[in-house]
Amino acid sequence: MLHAALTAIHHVVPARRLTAAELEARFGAKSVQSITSLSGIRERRIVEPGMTASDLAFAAADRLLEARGIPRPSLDVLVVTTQTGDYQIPGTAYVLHERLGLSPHCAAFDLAQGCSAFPYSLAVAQGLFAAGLARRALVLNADAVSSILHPQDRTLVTLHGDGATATLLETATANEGLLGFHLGTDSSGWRYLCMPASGARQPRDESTRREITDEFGNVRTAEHFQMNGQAVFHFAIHKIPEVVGEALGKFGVSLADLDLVILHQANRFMIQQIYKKLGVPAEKQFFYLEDVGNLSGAATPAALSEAVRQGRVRPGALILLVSFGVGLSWGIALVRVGPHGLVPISASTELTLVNPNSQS
Amino acid sequence: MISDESIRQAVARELKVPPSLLLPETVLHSLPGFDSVQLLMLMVALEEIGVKIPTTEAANLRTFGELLVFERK
Repeated sequence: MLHAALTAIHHVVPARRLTAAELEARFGAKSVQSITSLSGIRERRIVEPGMTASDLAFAAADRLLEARGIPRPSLDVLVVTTQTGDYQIPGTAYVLHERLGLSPHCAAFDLAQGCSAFPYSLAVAQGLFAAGLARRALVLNADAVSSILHPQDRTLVTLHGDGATATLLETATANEGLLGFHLGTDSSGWRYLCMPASGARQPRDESTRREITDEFGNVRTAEHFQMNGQAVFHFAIHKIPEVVGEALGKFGVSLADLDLVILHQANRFMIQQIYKKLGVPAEKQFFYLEDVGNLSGAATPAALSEAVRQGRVRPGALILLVSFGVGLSWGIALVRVGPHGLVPISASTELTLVNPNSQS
Repeated sequence: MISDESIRQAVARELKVPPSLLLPETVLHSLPGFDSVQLLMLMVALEEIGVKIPTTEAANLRTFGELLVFERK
């Protein structure tokens, strides 16, 4: 049975910065500083008009493939996760398949898994390796959530950034690569992260464009992405430590065996609470949100990519990847880095819009 | 088991308001300076003293009195 290993990873964020000063002008200094003190997010990278999540994904993938000299016809599978695709139909994977110049034998499809996207997409890819359908796969996790937020939704605008990652999977020996997965859902909370008028259930009309202001002063309409912050926060700090414990038991490893525990980069306070409950020591923690914001489905892989860039991932490292969000869902992956390690991609991690049809 | 008064003191401390402001019918959002960040900090502070808030209830927290009905250690 074929087995997948993570052999290269790269991430890209827009060059455009949304700074605290801009947000203070919009929402007032006191409230922005209050949220910043909790979130640990000083600035976010957001797409400019004309740039989409798929542009970011293309740049991440193209730069990775070029840097590693991967022949494009050698890719068997392209998995794209996004909640902000170019179109409702077709999936963004097809747009990217064409743009990346992949071959007809390369299967391509989308997964809409929100912030837990990375472990889910790795698990699906691993299944395709195991089924003998892939020997080399590209997983792209991309979101541009800033484009679906109401500009006066202070809670979400101050947290979210946009970004994309490209992860290369190749065949490996059984004791390295993707060693285990633990996935789950608490669907009683699907309403807590929701964009109500975004599909067939609630067609868009005049009523869905009506602005509503909540008790904290956040403005939104049914056509914007919405979050019940206290419910999601509560879910994260209670459920995630519990399921991480389950996962470690299932994998037969302890925290002491792990080199790094990378959590979904939602906000610093939430991550700290989960680390504290799990008892993860500081040297095994990693944060990547202060200068980019919460990158949604790209947050966990971008944190891994940044950890590689910062030299925090040694050859043979055992890493636990923990993502959670929309659904409410969680996904946990145990990854053993190969003996040659993960070499950082030397290309830029920024994308500036020049011509949306020729991004690289 | 921790008392209602202990919860009142903890909430007052966390929100930096006089305990006398915290009546069962007090709407948390009406307290001076209360914002979404304080609500999250409050949830953590209450948990640390042994108040267990279910996620479904956390989604709809509104008054101080609602904090007094949850299971306690």
